[in-house]
Amino acid sequence: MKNKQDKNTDMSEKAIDLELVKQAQKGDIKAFELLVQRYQQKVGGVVSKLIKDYHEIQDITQDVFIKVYKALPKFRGDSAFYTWIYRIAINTAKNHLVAKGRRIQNSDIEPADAENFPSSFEHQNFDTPDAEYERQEIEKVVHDSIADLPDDLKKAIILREVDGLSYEEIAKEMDCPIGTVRSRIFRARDAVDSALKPLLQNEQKRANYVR
Amino acid sequence: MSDKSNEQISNLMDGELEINASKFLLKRMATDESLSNTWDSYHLIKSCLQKESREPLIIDVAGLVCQQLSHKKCSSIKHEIISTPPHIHRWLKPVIGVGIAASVAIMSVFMLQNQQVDGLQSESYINVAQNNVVKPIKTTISANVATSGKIIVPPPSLSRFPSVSAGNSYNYNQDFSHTVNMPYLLIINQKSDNRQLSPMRIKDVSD
Repeated sequence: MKNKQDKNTDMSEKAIDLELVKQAQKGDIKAFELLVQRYQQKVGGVVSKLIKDYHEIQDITQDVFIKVYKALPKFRGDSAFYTWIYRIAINTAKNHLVAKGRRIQNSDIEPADAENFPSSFEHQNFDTPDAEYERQEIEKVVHDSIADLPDDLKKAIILREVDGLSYEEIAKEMDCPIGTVRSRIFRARDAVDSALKPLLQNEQKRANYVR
Repeated sequence: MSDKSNEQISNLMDGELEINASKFLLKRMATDESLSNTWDSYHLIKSCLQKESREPLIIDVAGLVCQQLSHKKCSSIKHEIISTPPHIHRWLKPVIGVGIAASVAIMSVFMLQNQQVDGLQSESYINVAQNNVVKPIKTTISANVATSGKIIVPPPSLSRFPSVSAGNSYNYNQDFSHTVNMPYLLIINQKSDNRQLSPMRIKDVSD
């Protein structure tokens, strides 16, 4: 098991963001791409709280990250990176609605509530039929792959991704060393990734999925 | 791409990788396409498991954003990022101001000195104080001195501060017995202490 001293030398998720931000501030677009990959779902999710149309969500999510990139020199790291981009996302979405002359709903969403924001209004026809089909396809592959995993891998990945437990908490829960937890979570992700690859391999298909 | 690298990516995204290894891996991911694809894929899996059922699945916005940034060249943005930080401008402004003020002051000092030198030449008298006793000295520039191309010039610092010798001042009266052409320069010895007389200087400017 990883001892306490080793644990303190781990790079926290906030530190990872800061490291990537630092690189992006030096003009490294690739580092910025890693940040976008990390937060595109969360930002898309936040934007979708205010906007219903799937294409608009995609466009605004892109705009948010362009704005984030432009504003990077101003980011000092006083707050969490996600809190910062969350505010930009909300403002961008609101401005979009104002520009379109639409009423702004749920204007008082707080960053902390963003992830647990209740679906108070249903998004009908969120996706185009094609996008909806491919979205369902991806989700099906992910969920099927998880279901097919051995129990110990399945439990480890669910405790981590769905319940949000730390590796230490999962180790206690599963009564095993942290190293084992680390290995199980990786093997679970790797298995799902292998199942997803054929689906996502074709870049054109991915682009079509987005569009 | 090795399993070890993938496992490190898995640990990294959960904040479970050691700092140095994390920094190294982040730099590798920025240059290695396959590693960044794995990073993307693992985050997609996370999102699928975490998201609400009706939330849209955002895929490859990262690629589109970076494409857009590259297409716009973003050189201007990059330039903004790398350009001189604002704090340099902050201290540069007062320095420029001080520089201009200093230049103006120096210019005015030179102009003042030139005026005084002109005054000395035209009025032909200089106040001298030596050891707090001012003695009248009559200066006559004789023809042979003039023709030798030399002129004795008392320290003009005193003349710049006439109050020092006020009351006890006497004039050097130049008595030009002959009209001579004087190719001379008056040299001003700038001593801050006007009580300390600097030695007379003779300057020959003739060829």
